[in-house]
Amino acid sequence: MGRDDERFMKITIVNYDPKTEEPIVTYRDFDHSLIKPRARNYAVAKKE
Amino acid sequence: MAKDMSKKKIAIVGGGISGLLATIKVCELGGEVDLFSYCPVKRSHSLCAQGGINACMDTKGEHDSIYEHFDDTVYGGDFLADQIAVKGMVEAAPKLIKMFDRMGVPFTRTSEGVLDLRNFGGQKHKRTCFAGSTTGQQILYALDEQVRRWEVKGSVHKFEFWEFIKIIKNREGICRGLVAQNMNTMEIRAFRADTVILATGGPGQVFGRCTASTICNGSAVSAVYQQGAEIANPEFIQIHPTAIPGSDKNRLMSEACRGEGGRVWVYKDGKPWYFLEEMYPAYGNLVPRDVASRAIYKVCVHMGLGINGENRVYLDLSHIDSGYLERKLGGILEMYSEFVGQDPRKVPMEIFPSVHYSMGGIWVDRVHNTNIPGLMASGECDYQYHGANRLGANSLLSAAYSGTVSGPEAMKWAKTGNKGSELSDADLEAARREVQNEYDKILTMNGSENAHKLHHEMGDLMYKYVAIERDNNGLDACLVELKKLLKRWNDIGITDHSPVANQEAMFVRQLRNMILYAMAITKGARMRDESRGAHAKIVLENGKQKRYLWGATTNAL
Repeated sequence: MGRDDERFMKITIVNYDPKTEEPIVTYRDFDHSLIKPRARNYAVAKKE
Repeated sequence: MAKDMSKKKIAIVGGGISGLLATIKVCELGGEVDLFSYCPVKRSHSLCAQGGINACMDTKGEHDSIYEHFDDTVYGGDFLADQIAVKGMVEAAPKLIKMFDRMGVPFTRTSEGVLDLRNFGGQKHKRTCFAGSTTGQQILYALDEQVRRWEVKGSVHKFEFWEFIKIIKNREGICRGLVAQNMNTMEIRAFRADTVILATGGPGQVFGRCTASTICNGSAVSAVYQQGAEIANPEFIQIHPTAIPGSDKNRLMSEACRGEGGRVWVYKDGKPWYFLEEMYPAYGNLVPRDVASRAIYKVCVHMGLGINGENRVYLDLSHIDSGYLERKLGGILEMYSEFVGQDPRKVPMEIFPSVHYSMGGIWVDRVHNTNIPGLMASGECDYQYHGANRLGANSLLSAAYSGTVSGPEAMKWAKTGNKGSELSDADLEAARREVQNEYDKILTMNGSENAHKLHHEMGDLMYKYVAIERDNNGLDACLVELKKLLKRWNDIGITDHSPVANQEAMFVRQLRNMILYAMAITKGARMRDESRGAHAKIVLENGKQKRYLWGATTNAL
């Protein structure tokens, strides 16, 4: 599977459900305004 | 009530680099600290950080820049780190190095006397400041000395060999104190605090064998999670590519080995194959940890090219001048010689990936407040700064930086926060009693399960399903198994009924927390249907995956 920025460029937030003792997963946005996301590939050098 | 009402009391849990720096900052601002630690603070796990600490010092004339450090960190973290937070950290880095230098941290220097720097993974510039290969130890010791100064002045009260159990909230739901237990006398006591900072490190022990100390069990994080604190990004667990596999634990071989020119290889068709150099020509052996670990896994498990068919590859330093190695890497080469019985200056080391660090942790805002007012988190136990993968030598940096943020912020909250009602003596006693009852109940457990065996089973499960390659079928199975473990926990039988220093009873309590943390990690991984940084999800073609059960064959080395 590849990276899916559209759906998953989000922080995973896990809350505890005291009734079932299970984790509840939601997602939260965060600040990525300074460097635009690009593909990560260490076979080639970073472009400036 | 207290003698000096104007003095603010901050409870700090954890005496590693983040906890100690927060302590110093609180003291500088006139606060008082109750410092809780599992162990003498000089034995905290920060001690084990080897390779160095990243900061743009640019003493090598390579035109390194803070922006480049920023970009490497964000790119290395596969764009999952809060960029404003990362920017703050990399900007502060050079000042932190100068501060440590003034405190007397013996950073390695060049013959001209300037700070030496070395290469580290995921960075094309030399940016890593180091003190031989025991950088964490040197920084921790320097901070310990500073904290002792405040201790002598009466600002710091250390509670060493005390285990944090849970926080105490007032009726408005604001954190106003904590309950802790003395690990020698087993006394359980409730403490008031204006702010509580958790600096309790990572959850490595959830995976059983790992590079982390036995104290890195994530129990404190899980405890506050069960009290309503949010955990963020728990599925991002760093697997360090180069560790010495061991039957008791895996021992870290610093990334500095690769930074100083170490090469990773296996035999292929009878000849050495430097597979990282071939797969990643631009970065070679200096690819970030998630990338290197996946490559080693692929070469060993999928291609069957591990040394003698086992799951190991060579990490080779033998081509480098031994005097140079001694100066740059002395401490860890000694460690390898001692544990393996071979001299890495002469023969290649044999290594395999191991669970090492957690990028995820307690959710915090940019000044390290959790979602529970009055509760803060800093260091590895928080989730900030590293995104989906941490670059080597950025953890000492984030530990130090977060301490310098959380400390002053804790004082600000103590002075001006809306703390709500005070805890009455009855509130404190009620909280203490609750923990006492839970503990007394553990002492009477007489079921058929062995806690340490359950822990091993959990570690094997986590390595099997939630390690380098993950798939949804496996993760679903893992969640089912973890739930079974949680149920079986109720049937544990205690063999140690001693009223003093009862490690087994404490371990049983920690184990339950660890299982719940493991469920958070697994669920996070299950829900994230993508690959990003350390979280690599694969789709099975025939419904079956070739899996390697870590613990099984590592006894030989």
